[in-house]
Amino acid sequence: MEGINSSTDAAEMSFGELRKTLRKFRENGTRNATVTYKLGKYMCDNYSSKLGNEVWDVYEQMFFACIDLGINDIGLSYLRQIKEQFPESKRVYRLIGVLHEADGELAEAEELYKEMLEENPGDAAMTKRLISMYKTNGKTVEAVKLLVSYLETYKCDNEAWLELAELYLSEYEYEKAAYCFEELILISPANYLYHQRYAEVRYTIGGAENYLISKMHFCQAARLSGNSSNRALLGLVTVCETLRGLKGVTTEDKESCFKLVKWAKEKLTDKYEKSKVEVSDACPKKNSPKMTDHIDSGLETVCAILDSVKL
Amino acid sequence: MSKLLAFLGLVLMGHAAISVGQFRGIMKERGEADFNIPFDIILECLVGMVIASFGYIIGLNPYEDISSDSSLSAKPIEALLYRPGFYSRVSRRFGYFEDE
Repeated sequence: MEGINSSTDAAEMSFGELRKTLRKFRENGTRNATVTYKLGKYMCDNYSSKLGNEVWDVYEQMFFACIDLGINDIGLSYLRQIKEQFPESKRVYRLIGVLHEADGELAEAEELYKEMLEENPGDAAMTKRLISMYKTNGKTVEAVKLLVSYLETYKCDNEAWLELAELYLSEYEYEKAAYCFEELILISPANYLYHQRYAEVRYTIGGAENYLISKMHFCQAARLSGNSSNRALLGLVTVCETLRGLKGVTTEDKESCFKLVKWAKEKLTDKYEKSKVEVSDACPKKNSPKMTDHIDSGLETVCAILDSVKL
Repeated sequence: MSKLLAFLGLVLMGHAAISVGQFRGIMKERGEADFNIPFDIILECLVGMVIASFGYIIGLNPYEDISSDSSLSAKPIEALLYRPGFYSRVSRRFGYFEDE
């Protein structure tokens, strides 16, 4: 999957590579619509019989790619094929709702979702579509209300908590967003991203207590990511630097901050040096130092930030 | 090596089975109805079973790390932030697509 971009020629890829790439896109939620459309179209035109039942997943993926690209009429053709195969499926009705939204027919989309919800009030996916529709159309208050009532029933839905956190962040409600991230951490404590995002929100709120919590969660995020998250490492440096300059922070905490910054600096410097070597080895043109210059300037920036910490 | 051990174990167990069959045949010829299977045949069968099991187990692939830490850190960020239920159209691409 490395090296796949919009200039990739689908005809040069084998059936196995095409299928693997599209599967990876589906698993990771990759929204690279142009590439998905190119590869998927080639796959459907040449290998649809080989796909078996997976062809319906590919058609759905193509439908979303078409919606993202604004070619709704082609998306409709894929939707028709899915509808023919699964005429009474609620999933298909959701896709119809998405198409109405993409065509700007918001009233029809809302009516469809509400009709489906009246038939089955416990349909979580349909509720999410309604929430998403409200959010896309700027009705944040309605979206939040509906999402909160949804979460009162489905308390362990990661996706919904993350969506609510993003909605609160968009409205600068940091305390409420922090609560959402706390719930996410309780549900998935091994997910480093939740710790990282929570630490960032706590840092944004400010105050010594929040900085200490933020430091803890940046450490956890760095550890869980196997020290691969640059953002967690840089966040750790930033929060430790802030704590060292604050009054009311104990000497022990300041010493631990000093050690953490030193540790994070070593990790970041190693990573940037290593990435510079990897890029220069992979660089196809011998006299093209642009990428290494870019990394050099990045490394200089990072070192400047870290040096300003005055270790 | 693992296949060799497993095969050896199966051969031993097969041999023990054949030995039991032959022993039964001999006992029937003698007219003895009640008999116990000789200890060495039982021992051979058990040893064969142990060797075959051992050979099969060491031939298995090493265990994969199933801790959620290892699998989550390997995923890209977009996978961790993926919210398919709240899909919304990325409308900025509208009008920029040109079919080649």
